[in-house]
Amino acid sequence: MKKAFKHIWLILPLFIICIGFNTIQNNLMQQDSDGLTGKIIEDRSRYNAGDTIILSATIEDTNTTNLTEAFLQLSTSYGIITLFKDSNKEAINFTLPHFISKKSGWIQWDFIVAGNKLDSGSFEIRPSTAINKIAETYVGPPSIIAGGKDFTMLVTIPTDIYDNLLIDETPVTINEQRGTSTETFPLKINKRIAWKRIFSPEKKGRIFATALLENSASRELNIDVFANQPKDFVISYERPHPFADGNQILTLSTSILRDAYNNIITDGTLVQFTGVDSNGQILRTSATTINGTATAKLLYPDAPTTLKIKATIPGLADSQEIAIAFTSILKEFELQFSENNRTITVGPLKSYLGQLIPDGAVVELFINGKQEINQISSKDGFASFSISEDFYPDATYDVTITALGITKNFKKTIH
Amino acid sequence: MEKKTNKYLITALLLGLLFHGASIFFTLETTYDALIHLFFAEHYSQSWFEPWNYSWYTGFTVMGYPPLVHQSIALLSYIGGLKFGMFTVAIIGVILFITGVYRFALLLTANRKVAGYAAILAVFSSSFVETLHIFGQLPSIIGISVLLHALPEIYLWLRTGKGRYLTTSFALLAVTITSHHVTPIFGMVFFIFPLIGMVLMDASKENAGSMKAVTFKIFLANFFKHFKRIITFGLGSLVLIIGCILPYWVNTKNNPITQVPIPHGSRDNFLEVTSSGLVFFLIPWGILLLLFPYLFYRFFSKRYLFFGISFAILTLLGTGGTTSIPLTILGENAFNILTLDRFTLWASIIILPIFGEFAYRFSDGDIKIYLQEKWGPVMHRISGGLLVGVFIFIALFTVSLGKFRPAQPQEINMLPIVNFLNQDDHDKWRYLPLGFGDQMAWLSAQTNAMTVDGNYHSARRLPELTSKAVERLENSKFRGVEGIGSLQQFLTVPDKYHLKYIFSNDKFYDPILYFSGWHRLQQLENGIMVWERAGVTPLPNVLPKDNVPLFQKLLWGIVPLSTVIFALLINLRAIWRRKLKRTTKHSATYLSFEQEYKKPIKWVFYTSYFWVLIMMVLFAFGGYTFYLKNTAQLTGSNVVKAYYDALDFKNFEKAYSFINPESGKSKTQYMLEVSVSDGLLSSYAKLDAISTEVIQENDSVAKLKAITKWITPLKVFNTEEIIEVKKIDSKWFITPQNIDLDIPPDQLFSENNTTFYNHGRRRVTSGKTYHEDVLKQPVVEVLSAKLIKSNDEYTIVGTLQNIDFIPADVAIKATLYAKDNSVLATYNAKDIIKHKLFAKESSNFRIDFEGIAWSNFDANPPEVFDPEEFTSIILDEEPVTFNLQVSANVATTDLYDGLAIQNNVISEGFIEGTLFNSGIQNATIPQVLISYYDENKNLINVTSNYIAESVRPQRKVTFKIPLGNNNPRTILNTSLKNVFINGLPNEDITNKIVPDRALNKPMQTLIPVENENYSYISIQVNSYIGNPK
Repeated sequence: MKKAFKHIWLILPLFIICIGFNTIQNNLMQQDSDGLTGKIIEDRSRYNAGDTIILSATIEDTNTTNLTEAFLQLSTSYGIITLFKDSNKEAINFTLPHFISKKSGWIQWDFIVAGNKLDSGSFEIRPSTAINKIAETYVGPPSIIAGGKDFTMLVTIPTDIYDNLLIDETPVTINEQRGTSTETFPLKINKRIAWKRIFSPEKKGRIFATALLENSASRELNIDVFANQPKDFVISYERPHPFADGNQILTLSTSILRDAYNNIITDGTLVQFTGVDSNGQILRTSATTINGTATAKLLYPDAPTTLKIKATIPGLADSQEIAIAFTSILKEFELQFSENNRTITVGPLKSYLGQLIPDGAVVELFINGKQEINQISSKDGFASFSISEDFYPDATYDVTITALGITKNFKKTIH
Repeated sequence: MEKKTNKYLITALLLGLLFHGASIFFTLETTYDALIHLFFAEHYSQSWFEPWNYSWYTGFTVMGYPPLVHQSIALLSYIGGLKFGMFTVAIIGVILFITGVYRFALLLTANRKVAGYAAILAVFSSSFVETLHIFGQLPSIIGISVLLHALPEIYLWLRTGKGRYLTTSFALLAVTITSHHVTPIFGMVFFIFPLIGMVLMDASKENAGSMKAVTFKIFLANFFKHFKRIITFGLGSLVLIIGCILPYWVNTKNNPITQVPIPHGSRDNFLEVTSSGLVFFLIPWGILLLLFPYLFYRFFSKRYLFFGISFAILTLLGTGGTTSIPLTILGENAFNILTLDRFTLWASIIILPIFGEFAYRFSDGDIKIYLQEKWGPVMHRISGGLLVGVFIFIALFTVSLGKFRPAQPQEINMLPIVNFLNQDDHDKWRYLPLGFGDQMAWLSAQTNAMTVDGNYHSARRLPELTSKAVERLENSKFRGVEGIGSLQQFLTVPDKYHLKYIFSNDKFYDPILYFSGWHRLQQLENGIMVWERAGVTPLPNVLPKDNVPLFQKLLWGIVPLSTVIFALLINLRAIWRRKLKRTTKHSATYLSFEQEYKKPIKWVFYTSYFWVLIMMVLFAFGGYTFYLKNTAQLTGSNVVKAYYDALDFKNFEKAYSFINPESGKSKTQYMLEVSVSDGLLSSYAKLDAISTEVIQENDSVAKLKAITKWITPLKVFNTEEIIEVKKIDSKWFITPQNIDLDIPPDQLFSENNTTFYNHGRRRVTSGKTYHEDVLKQPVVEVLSAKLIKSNDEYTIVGTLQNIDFIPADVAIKATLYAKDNSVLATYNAKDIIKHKLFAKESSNFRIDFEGIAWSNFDANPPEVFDPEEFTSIILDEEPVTFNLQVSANVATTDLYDGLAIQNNVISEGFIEGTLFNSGIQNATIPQVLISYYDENKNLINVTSNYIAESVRPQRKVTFKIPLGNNNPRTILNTSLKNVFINGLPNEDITNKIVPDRALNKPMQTLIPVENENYSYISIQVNSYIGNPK
């Protein structure tokens, strides 16, 4: 509480000083007003923007008054402006400058002579009716979703030639073109703007719109209507052969993705394909749609398995699960040993037609359970390991060889 | 005595103009500093009196560097452009230096011939050549040259006490001060104090009759006799030093240099870092090294004693970090701010008179006679020829050093960049050049656009820069962890500094740019790639600046050039008086101290003899060690190291020479194999360390484990490779590794893709972009976001999906709030997110709150580089709530969906799998995002993993990633209430666009794993396409 009082001691003198000055000023104003009267002859209380506005005044007791001290104080939307009388000697006329008279809005005036406010009043400038134009028209957002729920809003701001907003109730027309049909919507300006919500149709495409005023028009406005969220779909696959050779491409495709209104989903929508093989390993690929269809690719597995594949657009739509079985390309492979068993040749690795398998099949060698030599890829159906005597002295080793899902284990004496 | 024009001086001037005048046009622009001075000059030419410059570091004051040289260039630029100004000032510097050395030598030796010799030697003095042609330190050169001119005047003032000498001394000193601040301060200590000593000695000699008779008593008596003059001069110069560049001192006091020191080669241990030893010791000393005994002997004679002491200290300080003595003398602070090479420069200048004296005596004086008697005239001439040959060779070698070991990138044509910045209001944002070297200053001088970077590191202001020893962001890769760390912060949070454009001249940085959410815009005609970040707001129209009082601006703008005009007027008057009037035969007092050179002293001669021998032996030994260290095929481990080194420098021919010739691999085959390898490790990495471990070994073969450490902008790769090496004819060779023989299925295949194009402005107008040309921001929905605590670190993890129909470029800004809603920390998502999302694509993300690394000065930054190094922010309180601001913009590039995960196995804490590229682009750097979920399938962590190899179309690459971070994680907050998309509440978007999200259609396929801290993981892939087709 004590603190609050302290502030009062600061504010109170200030307050008193303010009142004091105000009183002094008022007294000064009224000091010489005795006998001096005058007024503005106001003929109209309403003008149109762009009109020439001249206010004439009469002053009694002109002899004793210096007319150069007569002025009109205007309170406009640009701020307060002081106007001196026109240079004409006879009459006391005040011509409003063009930048004021072209601007719509209310103007308040005070007629002051030699510091005395003799008269005051106000008038309105309304937007010009001569030529109107559409200054700004917006539509946003520029794209919406089909189905009738989503909407965009067209806002138009018609003005007169001086950029004054038009008065309410001025009629505006909005034309819309959807497909082959054209619709016209009469609107009225409300709170200086006209606006309309444009709801999306069920078909995707483009809506064209324009706003028209009596004698002017807006630009062409475009609204894109995109398909709605996708519905569930089906997938299919295509493959050159059913053998797990690890060297062909499995192609997965979706049916044409559509929304609930049968619109084809927008190009470039991502579809994820997820597969699980017999060992529970996950495969994942993805593709974007073109004309509603997404086509993804996977490499063939290199061991017999069955892939269960399903496609999704996460959280929105998915497909059925398909199973694709791959069978083994070989049942057995041969091994050849060099004289001292230091070189092991795997092969020929033969594929489903009895042909040599394409280069690059992975063959792995483990000695005593350890993968001492890196896995190598087959070339012309063969893969050859040489066991260096620098690192493997003569002895008997436990050797394991794995290729294309087939494993061979044996003991071998190297000498 | 009739005075004649000194032909030696004329020769020196002509030689200097020819040699330096011809060569600076090829060297100066590629020096370290010249373009920085040019940038400053450009500033003065634009706004002479306004010290604030917005171009660098979000604004800095040019009052941090004495302005004379910059202002002179600026003044000359009005005649012929900035570069004309720079070259003119450089040539003036050369003339001033040569004449300055001449006057200094004359002062010391009182022998015109000797002084002439010194002037000629000065032309080719390797330290001067290095300072001008390699370092480009124009102010330093002008400063020291003018100081040399001032020395005779100071001597005359002290001896004669005539006021006009004091005036000339002060006039010249003022020029020195306004051109370089360090020169007069240290010049006082190392040049003027010894000069005072010499004055007293000379006075004492006159009193005592001969130098020998001078005792300390006489010396002291003379000191008191001259005390008034010394004090007058001392106080006067102090006033000048402070007064002439007062704004500089005010600025230094207001903005003290509180930065982590930037490593400089001159502070290295020259024995360890031999390259620094070469540049900062061997080159500047050059031939002088061989003459040390003579130089020291002469300088420690009675008259020059004080110069001797000064010379010894300078020499010692110039040795940098080789011994701890310079550190002890200068103290930690000065040692880390000063570049110590300037001491060597001064030492080599201070010794020039003596060097000149030697040259005179050797070629024309007593030493010549002595040697010709001793060795015969032929030997004398040969040895003289050798000395001159080596001397000139070192000078030429120094001039062309920039050619042999370029310190700068190739000259960049700046015009396309300048034009780009001028187009379409691109200069409304800040830009950042990468890999430009010191040419960035030249770019800054030509454009109005601003950069967050800069090239005058004393003026750095941003904490991201000052807290680290980063000279420039532009060359951050050379500054290791600190550089890349600083750069990453700017790349991750570019909106903080309105950074929108990056000009990349070094593809090393490209991966970090891509994964931080930047995309390529276009390649300019000069090959510079422009990168852009979407959604960064332009700079405000009014930028803050530190204002200084008007009097400082006026002082700064007027005083420096006035000092030059004043000095010129004074000296012209003096020349007028001396040369033209000839009324009085004028001879300076110091000229009466000429010495007679009788016969060299034997012990000096023999010491020199041995010294030269010792130096020769040292050189030979150094060369031999160098040879041993660098001989590739001496041992198995040497050849492995040399092989990796060759690969690192892309010197494949050399690498092939280490391949076992018996392996049957042809050169063509090897080159082909190299050419098809791409990826983070082979195209974007720098070898940082390599060590080898012998696994098995005998005389002729060995199996080595090569443990390598590669630095890439994204992470450090530690690789281990087992390599077999074989010895053939006493040379070791590498057994080549098997290559992948896999052949892709299809020879020719086709792919259909949706591609996007955005017109930008559809009308060619410089006006405001039309409303209908502004694209709608894509709608993104955040599906989950959680504040997670792990140990003392807080992260936000979550999932978002682009639910629009157009691809989105997503940036997330996260803010943490305390209980009382006060902001604790703000940061953006860096690389643990897929920034570019197709329509309906989703990505998991993690936002880490990074602090500014080593902002605490006591904390020593680690010496090794690790781009993954993370400084977590220190929060005052535990965060309770968080806010996410997601901004999405239309993405049209860098969208690629060709990478597939072919299989994966989880074992022993690793996930192993295969990536298959089904598309037509080469996936240069694949990124695997691994998300971790708890037992309730709540996302708790996301990690980013980069695969070292690229995946070429229709090929596969295997990966093995450790399943990391086993810290327990607690979920603190999962509210989506404060999540906003493009400024709109996330909730509204959820309700409007996808109100009936199908919960049974999961976002990710989860893979169960056994771990105490998480129960499932999921994998997502992303890739950087280095060369889009």
